[in-house]
Amino acid sequence: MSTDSRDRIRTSPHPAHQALIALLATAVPVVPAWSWSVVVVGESDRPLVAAVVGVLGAALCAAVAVAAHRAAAVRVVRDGRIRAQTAGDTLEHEAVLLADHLLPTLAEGVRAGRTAGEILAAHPPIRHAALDRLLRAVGGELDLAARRAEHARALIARCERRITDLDRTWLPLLTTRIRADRHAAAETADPPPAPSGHRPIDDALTRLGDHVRDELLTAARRTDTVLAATAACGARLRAGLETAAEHLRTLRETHGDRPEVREDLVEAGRVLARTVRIADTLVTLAGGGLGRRDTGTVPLPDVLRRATRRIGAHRRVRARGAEGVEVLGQAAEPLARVLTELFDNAAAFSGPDAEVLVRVEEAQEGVLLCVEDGGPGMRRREREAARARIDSPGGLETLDGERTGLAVVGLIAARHRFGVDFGTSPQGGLGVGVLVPWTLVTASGPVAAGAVIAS
Amino acid sequence: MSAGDPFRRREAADPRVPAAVPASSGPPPPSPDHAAAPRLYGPGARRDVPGLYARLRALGPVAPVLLEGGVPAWFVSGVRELRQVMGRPEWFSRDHRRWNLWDRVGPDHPVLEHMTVTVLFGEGGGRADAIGEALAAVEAIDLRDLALRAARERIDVLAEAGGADLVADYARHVPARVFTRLCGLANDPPPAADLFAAAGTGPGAVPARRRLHARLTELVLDRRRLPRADPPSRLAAHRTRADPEEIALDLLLMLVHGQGTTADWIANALRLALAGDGPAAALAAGRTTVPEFLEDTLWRDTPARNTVGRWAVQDCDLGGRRIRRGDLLVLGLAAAGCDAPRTARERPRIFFGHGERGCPHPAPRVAATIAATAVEAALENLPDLRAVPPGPDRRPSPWAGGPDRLPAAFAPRPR
Repeated sequence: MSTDSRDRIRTSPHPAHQALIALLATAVPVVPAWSWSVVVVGESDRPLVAAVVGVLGAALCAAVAVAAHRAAAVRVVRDGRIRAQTAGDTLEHEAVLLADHLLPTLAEGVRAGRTAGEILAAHPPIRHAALDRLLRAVGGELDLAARRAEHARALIARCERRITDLDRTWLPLLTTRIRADRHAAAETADPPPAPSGHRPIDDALTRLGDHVRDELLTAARRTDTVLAATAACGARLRAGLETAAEHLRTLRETHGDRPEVREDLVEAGRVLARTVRIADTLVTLAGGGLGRRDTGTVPLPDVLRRATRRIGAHRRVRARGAEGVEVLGQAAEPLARVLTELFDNAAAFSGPDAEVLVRVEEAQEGVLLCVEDGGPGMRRREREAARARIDSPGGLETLDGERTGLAVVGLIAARHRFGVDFGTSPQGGLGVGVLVPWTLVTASGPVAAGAVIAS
Repeated sequence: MSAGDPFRRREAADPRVPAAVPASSGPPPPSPDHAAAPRLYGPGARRDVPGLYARLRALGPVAPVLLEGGVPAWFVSGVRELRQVMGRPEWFSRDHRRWNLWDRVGPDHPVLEHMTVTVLFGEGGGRADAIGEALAAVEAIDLRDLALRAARERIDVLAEAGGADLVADYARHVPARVFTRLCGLANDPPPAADLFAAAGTGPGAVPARRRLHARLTELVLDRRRLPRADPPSRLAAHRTRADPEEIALDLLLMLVHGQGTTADWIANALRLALAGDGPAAALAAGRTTVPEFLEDTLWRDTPARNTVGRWAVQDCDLGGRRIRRGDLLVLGLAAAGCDAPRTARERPRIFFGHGERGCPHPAPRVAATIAATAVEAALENLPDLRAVPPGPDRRPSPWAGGPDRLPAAFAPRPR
């Protein structure tokens, strides 16, 4: 496209102007000619000549004007065609540039984080006005889309962070707080993770957090309520049974010498003792207290007798070395409970006539009681599971199935600092060692051998 | 609330309120019954309180009695009669302005020191209800949890010593901790000495109550700004129009009265548990549960032994006695408890102020939960616990609640 053609296009005059100019230019010689001819002809011919020459002159002027107009019109059309052709070339050129180069560069640049303005400034400007506008509009939209995407990414990141915080920090903290001090956790909400900045999501997460907190608190309260109510009921049950047992003892003292009732009274006493043990189990596993307090010291044989009275197979338990050992009152009842469970287990897993032996030995840390049976013993896995249960004792809420014996042993041992371990007895069965530390037991006198302690 | 000093356990007369009893009625002539009535004051009464109760009970369920300065009153010790008196506020009012001897005694008479907290729990039940609502929202299991924590913390402090005064070192601390927490003061607890002084009747009681009241007023203002899920916030929300001082006063009364009475209950129960007699042996042998033992304690030695009391709204007959309008009735709760045969006992409601105008409704449950938890924790965790000389000591008074001292020994916890 040359500057020349552009000038020509710009300067081509309007056809009407051209016609007017031609008219005036023709009129300049025609009018004097007409005047001269009118002057030179005779007076008589003057009107005719004036009219004829006038008409001819006018016709000449008109013809020249028309010709000029046509010529100008043709020029205009030609100029228009040239112009259209040039514009078409530009459009095609710039459209190709746009489609093949600028738009991909723009899209790529915006994706890479630059703005459309920066990218376009680095390229020669588009001359075609509409294409330029189109390019700038696309650039603006791309900028906007990029900003939105950036915003969305940041929001997602913050939401992810918040949800991760909820999961990894807030929730463990909350459960710890509820375990540590449920009352404080209920009274004051701990601050939730930093807000993401998006109200609907924040609100939803806050509601979720409140809901989780309330549910956890309710669940903790319910568990505790169930445990406390169970402990209370168990304690009342136990108190009632103990009262009945006391009445029975009085009855045995007054009527024990009558052979027709004696056996029944003794048996009723045993049934009561075994039932008391069930109530004890319930109370212990529900976190309740012992219910019985011994003062001073209790001889170990008495403790063993207390334990054997509470199991069905009381005749099968034999003790060796218990004489001369005194247990502090505070440890007597807990030790009896632990031994009851161990005796019961040993009796249940060995033959109906097999003996359950409890050997009492002095150890460096205290007095060791080994409860041994001739049963099948424990496999390695079972032993590990039993040790794990003793190491992390739990009550009713963590009971594994319906077996309670080991849980009772674990809880009482932990509370009263008895050591418990599982091994193999000399008879090849299970041997369970219970270590009572010297702070809870005193030993004096000889170690006596083999005595049946069943009443 | 009536005017007068709200920090005293009694209510002074408010000159702006017209007396309920017309001034023209005047003091009636002393009843002939009171001519040789036993005295509920003086060294004789202090020396032998059980004997005094026995003498009063021998005179019937409603007996004539003389209070400080020879002021005549009726001593109600029959369980049935107590229930009648406490259950009918329209016949037996808590408003001392009905007293027909008011002209003679005046607001500073020592008899009024024995009054219970009528400022709050008096004739208007609305405020007591609000306190009740605020307390009732505390779940029983949370209360037990709080009491257990307080008890274990105390036991951890005492465990290595091998001996303690169970009243000063234990029984007073546990309810103080729980009530401090319930009143929202757990983060910056007031000094224990202030709490104990406020619960007592000594010379330090009034300044201690004033200090606590100031703290509680601040707390109420704070909770109005930023409510929590605790009783002060609930009380402030419930009583939107009351000013903070008034709400703080309600909290103070809950703090002081609840803590004092519960401490006395725990102390009495521990004293009885270590007494070595039949009931103590039954408890040690597991034939009685601790909650049962605590109820039994109320019957045998209730913290609120006798209270002044009630005033007859009209002439009436009660327990075979002619009661005149405006006569004072002393509620002989301790004597009633001793009197009741075991089989006739029911849930010990009367000790918490039977009827509409009693303690706020959750109070017995709150006190029983704290007391049972504290007593059980002590018996379970202080091994070989036993009373040691010089033995329990109690204020030599027919009015005082629990023992002042209960020296005990136990096996020290190994370090």
